[in-house]
Amino acid sequence: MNKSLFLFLVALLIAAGIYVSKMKYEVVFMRNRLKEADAKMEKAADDLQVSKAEWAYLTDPRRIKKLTDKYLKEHANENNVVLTYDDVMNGNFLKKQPEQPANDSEAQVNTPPRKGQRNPAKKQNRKKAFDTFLDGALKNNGGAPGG
Amino acid sequence: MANFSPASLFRSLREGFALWRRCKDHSSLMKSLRKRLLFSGMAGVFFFSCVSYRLADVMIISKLVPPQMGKTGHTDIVKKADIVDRNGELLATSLPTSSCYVDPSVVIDADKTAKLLSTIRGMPAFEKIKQKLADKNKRFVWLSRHITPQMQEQIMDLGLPGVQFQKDYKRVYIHGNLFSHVVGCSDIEGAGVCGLERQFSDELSVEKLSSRKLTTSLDLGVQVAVYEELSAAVAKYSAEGGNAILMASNGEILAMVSLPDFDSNKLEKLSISAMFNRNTMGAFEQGSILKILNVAIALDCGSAKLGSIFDASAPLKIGRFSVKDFKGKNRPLTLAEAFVFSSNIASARIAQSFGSKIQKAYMKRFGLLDKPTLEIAELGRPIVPASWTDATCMSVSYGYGLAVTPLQLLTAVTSIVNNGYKVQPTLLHDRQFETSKPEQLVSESTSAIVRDLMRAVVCFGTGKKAAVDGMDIFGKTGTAYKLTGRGYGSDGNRKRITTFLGGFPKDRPQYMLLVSLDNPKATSETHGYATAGWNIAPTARRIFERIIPLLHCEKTQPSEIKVVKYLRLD
Repeated sequence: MNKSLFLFLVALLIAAGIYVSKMKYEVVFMRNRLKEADAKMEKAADDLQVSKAEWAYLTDPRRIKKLTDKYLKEHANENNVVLTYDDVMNGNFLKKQPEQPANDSEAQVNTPPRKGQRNPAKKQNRKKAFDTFLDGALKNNGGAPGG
Repeated sequence: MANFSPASLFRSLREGFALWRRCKDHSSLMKSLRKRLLFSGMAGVFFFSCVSYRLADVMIISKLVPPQMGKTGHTDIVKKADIVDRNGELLATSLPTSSCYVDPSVVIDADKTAKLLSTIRGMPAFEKIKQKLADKNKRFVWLSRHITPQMQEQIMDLGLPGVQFQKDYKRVYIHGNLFSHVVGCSDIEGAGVCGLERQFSDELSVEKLSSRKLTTSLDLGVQVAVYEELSAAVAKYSAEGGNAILMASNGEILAMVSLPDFDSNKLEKLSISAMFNRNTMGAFEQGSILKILNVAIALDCGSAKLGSIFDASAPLKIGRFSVKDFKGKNRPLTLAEAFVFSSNIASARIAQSFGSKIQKAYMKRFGLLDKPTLEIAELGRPIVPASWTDATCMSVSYGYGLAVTPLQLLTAVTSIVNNGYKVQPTLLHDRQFETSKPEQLVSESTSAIVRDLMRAVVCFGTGKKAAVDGMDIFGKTGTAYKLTGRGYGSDGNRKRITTFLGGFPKDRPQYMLLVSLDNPKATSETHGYATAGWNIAPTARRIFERIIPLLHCEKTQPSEIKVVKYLRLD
């Protein structure tokens, strides 16, 4: 075996050793990065799960109904008047809607007051009573109260 | 053994030197020796190079690389998969939390540690913590599970040695008590205690469930509607409880409610009575509802026809008992009339026409004599009479003598109205059962007639208050006395169970509902009556009105009721 071949083989051996060592540490670095990515993914999945649970809680039908009754001050829709396409095309919905009051004051009088809310009917009655009193007072006192 | 002496050693050296002098003269031999020496030297250099490199690697190079990340703490925490309804709405999920544990062997001052920890709101009391820290041989003791982030921060601020945290998962039931009996609940380790959580405890571990969620057949919106109406009825009629099941024609259960119930998130407030699922475990005599099966048997086996006449003009004697009608017509009735007017006397006579053997065989076929199948463990067996005599046959015909669960009854009737094909109840969405073609329990013509008869009950009979405009509701009411002790109690002191079992639409049933009230009381609105037609039928109507739009069912034109010609409506 000549000298140059011998030197070449020795150089090849050393180069292979260096390459394998380099690859080993690259794998270690990549494995660490993979674990970091897995940890981030798990955290993101947990955050997503919390968001999903929060959404499900916020959109709970019973909670929505409670909030609707409290803040929108509307009565729940009567489900037995849900219409189909045929009803709309035949004009049947006009017969089915509940009668709307003529004006707002009538609406206030006709709808029962909620707990804690003042009764507009009582307010009107009080106003009426005061007007009657005032009229009577004016008549008795010659037109000027306290006169 | 060779004699090793200085003389022999000197002789060996002299011979070796002579050999070397002879070899020196031969050049080829020297070359060969030189090559071998070179090779051995190279091998030695290579070996020592590797050793030197490895030494440098371990002592110097590896110190420059960050250490690999590893897991710490208790590793048995399993995250369970979600349970969702048929539309993907979340019913149960596992949320990440933190749990606090302590290593007692590392704790320096147990008293001080226990005192400081007990001051934090939500942590156990001083004595309890001190007890946990007492055993120094232990390396891991839970202090508090699923603590809030605020608590965690406060504990960390204390800086106590040995106190550590671990990531944990807590099972949360979003809708509280809405699905308590069906979805069930879990203990603090996440193991299922009842319901689907218990039945699918292994499958719900995330590694096993490929889709990461268990899709049930339940519908959140429908469950809310059924729950609210049933709760309102229980309150209105001062009932002891109630139950309801809504089943699709393919056996999927869309809603299942049993009252009283419990909050799945509050295990510490769990009571045995609240855990009782009336739908699947409450076997009791169902009363007039069983007349549906009685009529179906008579028509299917050919022992009677719609126009067959049965004498209901006088009470029927069975041994020392006599069978009477509630507000009877006191005249002969056709089979159709016997069903629509719910005559006990006529029903007993109809049962006599086919006999106890045929009745028992059909009840077996309907699944009323065996334990039902469903994907939960809380299932009750029916209470079957020991011997099936003629008297038993007659009493079973109008709903006494055989105690079955509401689930079994609903499944049997759904099968009958489903063109007679057997239906298997399930709580899972799109579950594929093994049988390719379902067994036919009764003929299609029998099924059509039974549906017609049930429609007539809602139009002309005791189910009038269950009728809904624009939908062909068909059904049957039933009022059964509850067994209290050895009898049914005395007049005026009897407890009842009122039931309505019906569905829609009549010609192609899609959904069947069973709803019951346990011991409802009479009110002024019911004019002093506590029978099914007065309390449970209106409840069923309100449920139908709410769920029909949710289920996207279109209104139907009222269809012809062919059995009307067999009815003499007084």
